[in-house]
Amino acid sequence: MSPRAGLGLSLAMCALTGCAGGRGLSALDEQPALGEPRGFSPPAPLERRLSTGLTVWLLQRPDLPLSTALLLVPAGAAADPADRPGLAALCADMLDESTQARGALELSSALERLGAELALGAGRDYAWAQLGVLSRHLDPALALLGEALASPRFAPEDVERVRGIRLSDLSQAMEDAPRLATRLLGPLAYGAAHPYGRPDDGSPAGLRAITRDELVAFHRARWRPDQAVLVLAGDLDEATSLALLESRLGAWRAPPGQALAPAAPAPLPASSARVWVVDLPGASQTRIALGVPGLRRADPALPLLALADSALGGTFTSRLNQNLREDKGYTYGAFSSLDPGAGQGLWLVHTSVDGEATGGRCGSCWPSSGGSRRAASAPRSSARPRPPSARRRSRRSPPRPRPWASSPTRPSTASAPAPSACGWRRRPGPRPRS
Amino acid sequence: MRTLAWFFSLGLALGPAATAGEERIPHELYRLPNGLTVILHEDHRLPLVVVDVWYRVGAKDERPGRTGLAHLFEHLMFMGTARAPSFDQPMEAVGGWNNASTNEDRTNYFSVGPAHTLPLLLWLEADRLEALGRGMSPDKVGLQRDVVRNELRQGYENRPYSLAWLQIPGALWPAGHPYAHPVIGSHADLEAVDADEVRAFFYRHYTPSNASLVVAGDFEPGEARRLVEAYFGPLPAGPAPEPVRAGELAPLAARRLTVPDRVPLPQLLMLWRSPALYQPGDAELDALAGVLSQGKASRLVRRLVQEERLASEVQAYQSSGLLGSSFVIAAKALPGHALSELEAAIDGELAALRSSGPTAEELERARNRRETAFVRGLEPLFARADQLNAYLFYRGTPDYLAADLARYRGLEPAGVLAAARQALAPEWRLIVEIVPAGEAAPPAGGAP
Repeated sequence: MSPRAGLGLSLAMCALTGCAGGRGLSALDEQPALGEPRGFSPPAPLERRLSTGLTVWLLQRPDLPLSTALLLVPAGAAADPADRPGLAALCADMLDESTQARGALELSSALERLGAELALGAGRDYAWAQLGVLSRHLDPALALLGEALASPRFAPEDVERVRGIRLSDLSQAMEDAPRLATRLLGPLAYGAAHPYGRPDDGSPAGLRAITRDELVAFHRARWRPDQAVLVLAGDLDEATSLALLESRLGAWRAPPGQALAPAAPAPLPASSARVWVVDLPGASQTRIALGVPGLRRADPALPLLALADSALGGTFTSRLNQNLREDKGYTYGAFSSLDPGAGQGLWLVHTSVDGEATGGRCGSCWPSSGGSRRAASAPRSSARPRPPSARRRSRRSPPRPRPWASSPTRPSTASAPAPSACGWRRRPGPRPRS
Repeated sequence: MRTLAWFFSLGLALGPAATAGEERIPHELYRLPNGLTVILHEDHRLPLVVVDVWYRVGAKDERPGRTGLAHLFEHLMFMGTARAPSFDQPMEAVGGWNNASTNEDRTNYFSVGPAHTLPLLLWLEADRLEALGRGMSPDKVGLQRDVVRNELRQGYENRPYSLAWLQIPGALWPAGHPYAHPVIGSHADLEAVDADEVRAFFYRHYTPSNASLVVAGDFEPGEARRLVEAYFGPLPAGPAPEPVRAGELAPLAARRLTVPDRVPLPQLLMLWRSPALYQPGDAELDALAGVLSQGKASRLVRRLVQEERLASEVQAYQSSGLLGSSFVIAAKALPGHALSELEAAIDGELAALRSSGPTAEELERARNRRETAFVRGLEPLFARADQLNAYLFYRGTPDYLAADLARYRGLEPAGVLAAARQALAPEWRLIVEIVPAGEAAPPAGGAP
């Protein structure tokens, strides 16, 4: 073992605790000293532009048998007209339905035959398409992606079916406390007139009002290659990648004329602390969603705020989780995250606490900076909400089928029909990006 | 088109598909004299290490009246010892993180950190295996009991469509079967656990001979061996726990369960008992699930979602375990449609499959999607570490990747048909109807 720096620490701990070592376990008595971290340079993408204006980032991963293409277009919910919340989401949904060349079932079958995974969705600033496939099938899979992007049919029967699924999904959100709280928070913070004040997954009225013509127009105006970025990662050299993308995505072209300017959201409107209460009779826990002003992604102070977020609620040992969970046992977890966008985002805190812990007991746990303890006044709504709703980041609303269980460890996914068959120490799955 | 060879890397060595049998996750395996199995998997592409430990204990090993103990114990493994009062603080301070999970069969613990933190990750893991029992206290048990009861509320009681899953294990498996209760346990059983029982559980199940340790990532094998020997070598072997067995099962008699929940639209679940993980029929039913619900053209999605528009979503999957599996179909009704309509449509498709099986083309789609998911699933370093432990636990050897892939590559329509006929008989299933509780909550968004 290498005592060195660790020695002083472990001696100090022994003095405090009266170490119960012995029995040849001496190596365990000393917390090991660690060497220096090894260097790491994240891979830098090659940035290129196709003849259609599509910006491409290439990440070469030698020997990786998988290829992934991720396309981002500025066609997220912030571009929804004020009276059509849900347009961006529904438009993204329609792109893996029927194309001019084939029906929705045929497109799906062709992708499945290649073992390709294609997912589409709309978040706040961006809509996205992600294609994952074994590299030996990348060529034909990219051709299918190109067809989906270039020539969606927006068949009326497809629109009605997908609209019905989205409406059904929204009705479920009204009974799901965490989702309901998230959907309410953004609109309450930004106001319904702000581009971030409408939920990513729309509203029932907005979804019902959307017409096929509006979908076609939104796709034409917003899903343009000259406004988009495609990231391709896999075992492909530059020349091969570019040739493949030119030929397979070449039919996806911008219509004549200038692109619409991307939404440039105003800063978060100023306001005082407000508390909204939503009554869900019979709920065994209270979901608490708290938002304070955050930053734009381009703000140079973002890395600093990210460090603050890490200390507040970004890790297991952060203040919120230590206080609410590990000291008091009020919750299974309490975390914070930053949600920076093209416009100013919110700094979010989320936790589900048992009913008894909801009021004063929990109020005393909030860090006392920023005045959020003043939890009295404000509009209180105790009726069932008619929520203006809020954003669900980057997850497509209609839950997708659960992937086949690929591992005996059977991790759950958020869209699985069953809750995790596992108990976890903490909620698994990707952390919200920050 | 460029034909890419099937070279893997990401630490996997996969040969061309034609030469099945050569694929493996490279590793070395050895055992310490105290019985601890150690597996080393080097991968130097990123300066990261993973320490993944499986203990061969899960909810199947619990006794009546103490359901949820294995998982509560998993939480208590992080409550610190005399030497390391906090498990998390030193790990997160150097950029590491951890998680753990408990299922019916086993409990896993994994820590991930920058490569230079390997000594600390191993030290923390060995320390709690040596010392956790001595430091157990009623306060620690009480605190994590509160946390776990909140996990039960958050994951089941306050999560739409989830309440039923607290009842399903007891309805699907016979009384006394190791799987006949939910992993999370119940409020009453969790309340009943005391520190002495926790300590006894620890000394019985948490021994080197009942564990396997995978070290994966950017490390030097000699150094890893030396650290493992220094920290884990001196620990006593401990008693070997009796493996839990499930007796022969009579087929499940048809049963129905209605579960009111706070949901806007009803959901139909069908469950069958099915062949255990890696047993004949398991891969066939996994593929059959793909034929039923993977993609818009799969049989159930096409019929219920695309064509007849009875359901907003439908899923089929084989949920596999050591002592048995369940095959599950789940479908959520769209407004205006009764669960009986969904049931009739599903039954129609199942009858057709039992009669003539999947087509070769359907099976090809299912196999190809399975292969992509399989490869993608093993991309993260942690996933490879955990898979080595899984193969060791379920198959007795970490060298099972090729055989696992071969289970799927070798599937034929006739084999899938036979498995469907054998496992999915209509008279042997559990049907669960999750229905809106009362009429007080009209659908807020879905109704026209």
